Parts: sequence; C-alpha cells; structure tokens
Amino acid sequence: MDVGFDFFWQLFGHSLSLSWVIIPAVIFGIVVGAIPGFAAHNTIIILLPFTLAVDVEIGMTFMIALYAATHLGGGIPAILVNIPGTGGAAATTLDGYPMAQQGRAQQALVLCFFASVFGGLLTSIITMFAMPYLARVGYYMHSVEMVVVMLFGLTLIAVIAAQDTLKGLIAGFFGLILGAMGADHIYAAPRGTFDFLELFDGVPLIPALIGLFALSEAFVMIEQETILSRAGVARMKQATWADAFDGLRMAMKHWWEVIWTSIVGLVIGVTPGAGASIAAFVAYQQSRVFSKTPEKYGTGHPAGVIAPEAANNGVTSGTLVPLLALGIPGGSTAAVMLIVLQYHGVPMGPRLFIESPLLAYGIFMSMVVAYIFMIPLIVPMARYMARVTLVPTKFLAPLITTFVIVGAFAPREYLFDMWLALAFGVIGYIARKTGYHVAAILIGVILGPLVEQSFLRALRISGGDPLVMFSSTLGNILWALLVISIVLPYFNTWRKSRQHGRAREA
Amino acid sequence: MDDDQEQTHRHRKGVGADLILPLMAAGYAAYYVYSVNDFPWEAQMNGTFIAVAIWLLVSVMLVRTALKLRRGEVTLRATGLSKPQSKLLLRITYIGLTALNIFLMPWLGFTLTVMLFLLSGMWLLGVREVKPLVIIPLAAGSVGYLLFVVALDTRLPFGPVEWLLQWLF
Repeated sequence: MDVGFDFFWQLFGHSLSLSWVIIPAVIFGIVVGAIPGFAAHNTIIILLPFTLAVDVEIGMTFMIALYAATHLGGGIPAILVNIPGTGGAAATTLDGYPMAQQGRAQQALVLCFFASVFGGLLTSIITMFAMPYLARVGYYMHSVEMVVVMLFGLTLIAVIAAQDTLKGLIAGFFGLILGAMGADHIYAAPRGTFDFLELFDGVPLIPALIGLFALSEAFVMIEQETILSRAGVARMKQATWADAFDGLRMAMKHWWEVIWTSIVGLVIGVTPGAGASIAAFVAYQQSRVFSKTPEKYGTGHPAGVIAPEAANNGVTSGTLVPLLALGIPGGSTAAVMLIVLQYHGVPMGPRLFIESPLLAYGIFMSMVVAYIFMIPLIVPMARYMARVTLVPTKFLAPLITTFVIVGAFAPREYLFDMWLALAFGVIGYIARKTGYHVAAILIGVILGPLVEQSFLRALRISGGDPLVMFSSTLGNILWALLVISIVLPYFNTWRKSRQHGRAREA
Repeated sequence: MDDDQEQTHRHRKGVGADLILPLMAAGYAAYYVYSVNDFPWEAQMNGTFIAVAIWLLVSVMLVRTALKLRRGEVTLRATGLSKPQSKLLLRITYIGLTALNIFLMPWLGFTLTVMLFLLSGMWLLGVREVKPLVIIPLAAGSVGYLLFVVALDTRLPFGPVEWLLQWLF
C-alpha cells in the first residue's frame, strides 16, 4: 500500500468516523485524569472486558483517546487546587497554582489546554511521519544516557532550592532517601521498609503524590476562607470570557515553548522506562534555564505551565513508538495496549506497518483526532472550572480529603496506602508550613529509584567501572548539555549584574 | 525575665519547627543505613551516599541555627508550625478526623465513612446550615459509590451501605 498524502487524508476521514468512540473516551479520560490515583493504565485495565470484546481498531482508538485525555486532565486539579491528577502534572503545580491563587485560573487552564492539545497534536503528527527514525532513539538510549537524562530532572531540585538553598537541598535529599526505600534492583534485599511488606516495592508514587500535594494542601487550606488571595477573589469574581482569550493570547505568545518542550516530551517518551513525570520535570527545568526571565518561574509564569503540559502530552505518542515499532511497551499503559493487540493476534514491529498500515498509522491518526476533539470539548469549560477556586474551603477541603484518600487506595487496593498518604500528608504539611518545597521531595521520590536502577545497571554491565558513565558519545554530549544547563543560569545572572553595573557607571 | 527581655524574646523568629523535617530526614537516613548494614555494596551504595549528604546538610542547618540562637536572633519555639495559633486545635482535630476516617473504613465501608467524614469535617470547619450538611455528604457518597465501586470497580472496603445495595440490586 502506498503511504502518501492521499493515504493519510483518507485515514483522517476514517478516524473522524470513529468519533462516536473518541468523544466518550476523551470525556472519560479527562475525568479520570483529573482524579488523583486513577491514571490511564489502571482505567484501561478496568475496561479490558470492553476493549477485548470489540474490534481491535475500535478498542485501540478508545484506549488511545482515553490515554491522551488523561494527560490533559491531570493538569486541571494541579492548577485549581494544587493537586496533580497524575505524576506528569506535578510540575504544573509550580506555576499553575500561583496563577490560580492570583485569580488567573481561567488563563492558566487555557494555557494548560493549549499546550496539551497542540503539544500532543504536533508530536502525534511527527511520530506518524518519523516513526522509523524515532524507533532508533530507543537503541541509543542506554543506562548511561538514561542516568544523565534523569539528572536533568533532578537538577530541578537545585532550581527550587534557589530561594533557600539549604532547605531545598534537604527536601530533595529527603525525597531521594525515601525513594531509595524498598528492594534493591540486583539482590531484591528490602531496605529501610520498617518491615512493612507493602513497602517492599518501594514507596508507591500515587500515595506519596496525594499525601505531599493533596492532603497537605487540604490541611493548609482550612486556615483560610478560600484558596485565593484577596485580590484574587476580586479578580476571579470579575472574570469573563475575555480571560479565556487572554490565556489563549499568552499561549500563542509562547508558541515556540510549546513546540520544543513537546519534542522534549516525545524524545523522552520514546525511551522505554522513561515517562511523563520525567519529561515534565526536565522540560520545566530546561524551559527555566533558557528563559530570559527565570526569576518569574514559580510565581505564576505562563511558560511554567506550558512547558510541563506540552512535555507530558508529547510523551503520549512517544510511548507508542517502541510498542508499535519494536513490540516493547514503553510504559504501563503501553503494556496494557500490548495485551489487547496480542489478544487480537496483531503482529508487532515492522510487520505491523507492512501488513496492517491502516491500524498502525490509524493509531496515531486517532490520537490526532482525539486532540482535535479536545479543543471544543474542554476549552469552553475553562471558565466554569475556574470557579472551583471560589468555593469556600469549609466545603472544598473535606471533599478533597475524602476523594484523594480513595485515589491513594485505587492503584494497589491496599488500605495501607491510605495510611501512607496520610503520613506523607503530615510530612507535606510540615514542609509547607516551615518553608520546604514539597515538589523537591516528590522529585526525589520519583527520580531517585530510577537513577539508581539505571546507574547500577550501567555499573553491572561494565563490571563495576565507574568510568562507564563517560563511555558513550551521546552520553558525553548529554553530560556537556547538563553542565551547560547548570552553569548557564549563573552565567546569565553574572552577565546581567555586570550589565547593570556598567549602566549605573555610565 | 523583665518586660524588655520578654518583648525581645517575643519578636524573635521561632525556628524550632524548621528543624522537624531535617531531623526526620537524618533519623530515617540513620535507620536506612542500619537496615542495609549487611547487604552487598550495590544495595548499600545509593542509600549510604544520600544518607551522608543528608547528615552533612542537617549538620550545616544545626550549626546555622545554633549560631543564630547564640546571637539571639531566633528562638527554638515552633511558631512556623503553630501559626495561626487560633486555628491550631482545628487543624489537629481535622488531621485526627482524617485518620479516624481511614481507621473506620474497613468496618463502616467506603460510602458511609465518606458521608460521615464530610458531615463531621464540614461541621468542624464551621458549616452550620442543615441543607449543605445533608445534601453534600449524600450526593458525594452516592457519586463516590457509583463512580468508584460500580463504574471503576475499585475494591474499596464494603460496609452496611454496600452490602445493602448489593443485596437490593
């Protein structure tokens, strides 16, 4: 079959005809993504009886649309109530929530939707055309390169620590030691688990995320009447549709940010084992490094919302590349999709594109169509969603508490995880009240075990030689970029102060 | 202590609460290193490196605080955590109520504990109107039951409400 413009045009029309599957999946995905604890993979697992029963094309379209929508949905509570719906939205809280507190929730939501939709759309189209080349990325990204990529994310701790270096570093290292909990990657020896069997696999991410962000936020929230500042209440009460257009204008102004951060997400997504959390943290950190106004990050800067949202939606199409091109699932959601494809006897790898091009390319076209449908489905809702910030905390805090505790339970269905979320909630509460950043703790918890795993694997392969970390060309390029991204902000600050000094002298 | 001294003491920043998290981190790091004592070096390396970094950072923090204490700039009161003082009891009670909610869930089931928690939580936070105190817990309990138990099939603890609904339908 000739895979040219006509083919893709027909495929687009065909995917549009599946809107009866895509629209409900998008709505369901946004709702599920907005509930902490209910990520795409466990929802898709629950819906396996449906996806296995229907035709493979319909099943895959449903899963793809739902998967893409969950990534967008995760940013909504992150902005409105400082609670990321998924790990990939944790970085969105850094600037999204301050915007909401200032009464600019509508703008922040539109920024999030714009970045998610156009980031996802762009990377889906790129993936469709550049699949054979992207599939090779997985071959080049070995343990050494993965260590450096994750270190990009970890350096965000230093960025957060900028306000009070000592407190930021203590929070980050506390997260890292909590992340080091559980069985080690070689001997499966349990470390620092207090003999709890439930902690043998390490600290589960969702209860940690829910505790650090959601419960601690609820505990802090009850000290005020609303989550908004006084000026924010006034601004929010006067909000009109013009605010949504203002958000759109801001997003358009940062179009380049959407493009390059979504590509960062795509490249990280292509790498098996990496995911939306890493992509979002790396994109946020890189966006700050190359920004002309890095000091605005963390105070409600539009680029701080765009970067993580574009990146975590860039991951969605990237994760499918190793699955379809090589038959290797790049993440937990892709693993569930693999089950469905195998159940229907669909061949994986290059054969898929030769024998069933309609299905192979159709998967990405469904994603494109799902993102297109998200625009009319979600953007008009921004104004009404933003009004959540006006709800008095005497109603909001108990509702948040009760539902996020269910979210902590959902992934593993252990009652223990509810207690764990409460413990993290208390840690998060103490951290917030005493000037330690909960995001720094979470970055450590998420990235710590991943860095350790890749680092130990690299050492194991090299026979214990630590110089293996500098043994590959790509790895060395990444090391150089890492050093540049760490040094660059300090260099820019020095240059600016010198320029100011000269201007004063003149 | 005379009046002047007392006033100065009151104006000094209380940093006692700032030390809670570092001490927790240092304590857990010590336990972690102890727990991996007999393990192969690969299993020890990562945690030990992080633990040493934590101890160093916490030592710097303690020295910094001690110097400030000596200069009379700060006190060891935990004002950071207790502010605002007027809502301290409220916060402690709310956290306790959350713990009670989790504790009771295996016996009372998900739906009933959600309703009871919302009712008591809102009342604790100052809601006195009967309408929201009845409607919100009932609505949230029903939505929660339909979404989490029926639609998403989450195996949340069953209680009287869930058993009754299962028996009826």
